[in-house]
Amino acid sequence: MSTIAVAPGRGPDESAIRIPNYLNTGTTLRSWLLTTDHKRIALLYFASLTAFFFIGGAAAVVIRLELATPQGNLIGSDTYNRLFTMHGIVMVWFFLVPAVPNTICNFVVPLMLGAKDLAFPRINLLSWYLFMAGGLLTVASLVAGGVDTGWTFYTPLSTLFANSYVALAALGVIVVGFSSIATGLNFIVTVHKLRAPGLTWYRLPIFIWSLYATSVILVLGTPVLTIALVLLLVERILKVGIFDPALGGDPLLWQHIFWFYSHPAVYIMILPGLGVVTELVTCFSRKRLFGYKFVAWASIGIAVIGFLVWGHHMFVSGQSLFASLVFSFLSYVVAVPSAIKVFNWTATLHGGWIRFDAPMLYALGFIGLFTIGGMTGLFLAALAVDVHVTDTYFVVAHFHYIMVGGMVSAFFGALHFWWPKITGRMYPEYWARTAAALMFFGFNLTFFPQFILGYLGMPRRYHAYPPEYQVWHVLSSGGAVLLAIAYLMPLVYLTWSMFRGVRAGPNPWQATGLEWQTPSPPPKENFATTPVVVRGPYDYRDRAAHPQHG
Amino acid sequence: MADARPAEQFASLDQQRDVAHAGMWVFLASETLFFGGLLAAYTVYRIWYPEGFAAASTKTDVVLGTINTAVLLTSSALMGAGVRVAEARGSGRAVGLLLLGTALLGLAFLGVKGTEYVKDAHDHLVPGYDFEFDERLRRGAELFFLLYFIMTGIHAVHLTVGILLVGAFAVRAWRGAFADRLEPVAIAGLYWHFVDLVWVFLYPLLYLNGRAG
Amino acid sequence: MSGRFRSVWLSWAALVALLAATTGLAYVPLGRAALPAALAVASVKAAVIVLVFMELARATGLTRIAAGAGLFWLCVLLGMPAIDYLNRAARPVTERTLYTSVSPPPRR
Ligand SMILES: [Cu+2]
Repeated sequence: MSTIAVAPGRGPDESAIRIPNYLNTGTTLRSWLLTTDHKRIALLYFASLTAFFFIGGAAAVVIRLELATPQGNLIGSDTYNRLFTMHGIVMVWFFLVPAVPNTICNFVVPLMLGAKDLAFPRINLLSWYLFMAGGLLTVASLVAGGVDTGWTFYTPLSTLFANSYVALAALGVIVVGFSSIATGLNFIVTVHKLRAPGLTWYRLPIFIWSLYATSVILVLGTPVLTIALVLLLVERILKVGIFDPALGGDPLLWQHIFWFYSHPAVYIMILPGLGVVTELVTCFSRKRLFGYKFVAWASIGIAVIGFLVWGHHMFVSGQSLFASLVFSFLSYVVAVPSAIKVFNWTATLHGGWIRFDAPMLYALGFIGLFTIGGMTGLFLAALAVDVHVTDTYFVVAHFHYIMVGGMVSAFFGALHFWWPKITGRMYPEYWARTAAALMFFGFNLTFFPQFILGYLGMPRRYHAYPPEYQVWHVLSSGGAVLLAIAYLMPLVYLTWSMFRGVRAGPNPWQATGLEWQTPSPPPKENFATTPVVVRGPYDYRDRAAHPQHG
Repeated sequence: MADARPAEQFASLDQQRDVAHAGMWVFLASETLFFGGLLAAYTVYRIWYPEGFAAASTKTDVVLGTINTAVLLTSSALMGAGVRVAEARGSGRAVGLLLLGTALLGLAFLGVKGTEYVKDAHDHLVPGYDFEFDERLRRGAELFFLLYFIMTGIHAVHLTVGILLVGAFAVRAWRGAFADRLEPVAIAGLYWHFVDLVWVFLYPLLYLNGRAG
Repeated sequence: MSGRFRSVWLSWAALVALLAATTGLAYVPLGRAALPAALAVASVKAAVIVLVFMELARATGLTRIAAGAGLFWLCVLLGMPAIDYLNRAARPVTERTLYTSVSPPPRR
């Protein structure tokens, strides 16, 4: 992809032992907690996100255990409400939203751009502290007794009736929002201003385009969530009526401003995944990306149109029919750029020399699950169908296909792909493939039955249900056990590989990105000399005889 | 000065200045949407309660509001002049005085605003605490005053941050701290002008509605 | 150096004149045109502040994108809910005009 001057290639086993890298320059706790190195901050985020993922996952385990039988015999309805709320809040704001941007992107984006760091390294560190502060507030609300409103904090339940720790959790979400804004701002400015010489916009990896689109949403959507939560706190604490219908307010106003952020937030969660998959598909099929410019601009298209569709969450809420029609139409429109991406990945795979390494398994799983999630989203965007399945398990299954089937797969794909760059060591391929396959199987077993449950009319957010639904719930809970095992496996073998894995060398995948042209793990300043880029991305030439697109 | 060197992630001082400007502009775009949430609430409730909003708006103090608008516009002019002196590498003392004037006008604004709040409380216009209004128009009026307090309150918080920032920069400029690095002054200026900009829209929405009877 | 300041003082004079204009306009019975008029004046003031004081006129690239995106997204945030509220069949029941014109009285 580029001609750069880096240290000449060393044998995989002798490299990275005494060569200074970002991990072994400074090993005190202070050198970690006050670091402004984007690579170290990424690792701080990795550690924190893992903790939050397992907190949110533990709540899900209890939920699925309770639902294994029709009677509410494990926990009461009130506890159940608090569990699914905490599962939602933690998974959305403390795992999915920051998952790829703050960990993988934080680590690889400056490397991909040929930069020494992000534009604002201290703001990057600040964002981690804000994230932890927001997380502590939210965990405090959990320890104090939890929240029972659902992650959507719908009014007037959240402002007038809920007896739980709504204010504390809302404050936590406000604080983590500041972290999001800081992150998005940092990435936007970095992508604009810190690209290496010769790295023009159309030479950027699609991963960067996706992250840029994500950052636009982070910067422009999150403040609206912040002000919505501020209004919620004002109404709840000062007992005045902003959303309270008895005082002339409109509960739907909450839904409007909440979903103005929270629908685009779905794209915050999925756009980085779309970027990851593009990197994986090209690398493991040794092909140029089919239709680069379409895929690049589709990311931006999703970020813009994604802000125009939020009313599809309000079809049965009393929103005006005309507004529903507009939102329904635009929800169909936003599917187009996503479909472009799936189409172009497929075209890229066609005729490629495909290798099924673990990251590629995750990527292929992503494409399948994301497509199912997207297609069922179109069902929900249709007014009449939505009325039938609103607030049923169909909706639950739909967004889990996008967020868990899609985004969590992409996260693990990215983690395995860049693991050698981050740690300098390879993960064990056999175990990684096993985990990827188990994750795919367990995921489908957990969530496909929920489509059927929803179609049959099982509403979401109930801890007990009529016995005729039990067979589907048992299947779902069984799948959840497999899924939990599949999530625990990487924790074990990746930790093992950090110490015992085979040395990776700078570029174990023969990938073309700039990040692979510096040693693994990279030195503190990323590159010995600033690289100069002379070619576009995805310059894979293994099958030179094959006609190339792009 | 010879010791002016960019931070390690930058290739040049130009790039560093560029990045700082860009960062502030992106932050202000974010701020626009933050205030936008309040404006959205204002919009939909004004659609619902046109009469209540108009009646309530006439209860605000238009004289003090207008004076305050003029104060803020003048402060922005002083800030703009300060940035231009700094860009022309003029004397640090001139920059310091202009920024000091800016910050003092900001303080004056807050003083006037506080007076208004006291007056509003005296007139029973504080929702949730002491609110009396014509029963037929009460709900719209109460929502209006709630939004009035939240909007002006959040604006005042932003202005306070600006006063602290510009005040601190005034002292540093007076001491000559910005002789070789001008971008902090310009960036503080961007923030100040933005806070002014928000008020330019709050003023007609909160003070002028329904004045023609 | 005075040339650099001319734009500042001229802008200040324009802003104060516009302030006087909008305050005066508020007392003219314009009916439905009052709000558009007030917002038009505010927009001109905003343009002066953004173009001259914030020097957007001289800016390039990301600065223009940020300004444009802020404006566009603000319009979305205000406009799309307005589409809903202007077309609601059920409106709140307490405003006097609504009893008589748009919606039937409440059934409570
Ligand atoms: Cu949505």
